[in-house]
Amino acid sequence: MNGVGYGITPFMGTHGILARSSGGGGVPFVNEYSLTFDGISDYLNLDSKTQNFNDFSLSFWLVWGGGNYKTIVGSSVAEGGILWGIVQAGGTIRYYDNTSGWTILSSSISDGNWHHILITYDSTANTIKGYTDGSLSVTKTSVDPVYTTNEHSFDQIGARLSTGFYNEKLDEITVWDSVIDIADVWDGSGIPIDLTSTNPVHWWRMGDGDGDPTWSTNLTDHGSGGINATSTMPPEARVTDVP
Amino acid sequence: MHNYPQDYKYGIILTADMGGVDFSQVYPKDSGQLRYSLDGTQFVIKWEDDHEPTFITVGTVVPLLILSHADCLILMESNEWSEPIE
Repeated sequence: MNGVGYGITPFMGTHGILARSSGGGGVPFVNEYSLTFDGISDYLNLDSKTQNFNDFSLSFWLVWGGGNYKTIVGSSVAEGGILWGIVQAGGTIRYYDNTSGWTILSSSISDGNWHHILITYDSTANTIKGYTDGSLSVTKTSVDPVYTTNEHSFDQIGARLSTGFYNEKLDEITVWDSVIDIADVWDGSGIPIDLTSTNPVHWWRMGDGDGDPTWSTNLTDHGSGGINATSTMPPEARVTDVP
Repeated sequence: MHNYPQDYKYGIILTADMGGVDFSQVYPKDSGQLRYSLDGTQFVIKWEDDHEPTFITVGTVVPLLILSHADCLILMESNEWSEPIE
């Protein structure tokens, strides 16, 4: 899925955000919003659990908020394999492995800036890889997931079980049912790109396309899976601080 | 326009008092999405700091605590609210 070939077009959106053309004369891709989580009780509940993925890729943008074991995606019950809990801990992204414990998947992200993370899991090779801002950070073989019922799946954004509430900003959470190439999601510009042509299963844009001028407080899944999400959050949680 | 979450107040409420809470005035709006203490006896709600819920103002529900965002974050890290990490 390489060679998407996005061209940057000098189009200014309503908030003065630089937009880029997805090519072919389509509507320009604009990222105007992200969601900020309070670290106390904010999370998003998916309308249903995702499918059980064999291979998968998970891409997202985040700002580190301190603390440990703060969840990006997770499960409301003790199941889901690798996706039971993808967390920020110790300034890095981690998953829980039965053998190696909370296992690092990224480089340090603890500088308060936006960072992009891509996690891929190849079930045949039983190998998970983590990329930070376009560069391969970690390759972990012999993956030994915890809570193997319904592996690999999740049903929450921003929390796992009833704990680990995320405490800063998240944007553009996207899932594929295959191992994608880093070039599909990172073009070197340091900002999100239009993922439409990569055919994601799930793509929660964290406020873009979810109501203007006031956020609906729910999220639309722009992927083929069509699993929308309901939040516990007020409209002010949608902010214009974006990567 | 409020800064989120700094401009919100957090109330710690006894679960036994839930019947007095008007969820249309607080977040979360759905009582099924509350965060509870580990023993289930308390839960958290929040509101804009200049819009105190009437059920609190008139004393229908008396919170155990009303906290700033920063102070509530500290409370949530306690053993009463967070499981120890594996």
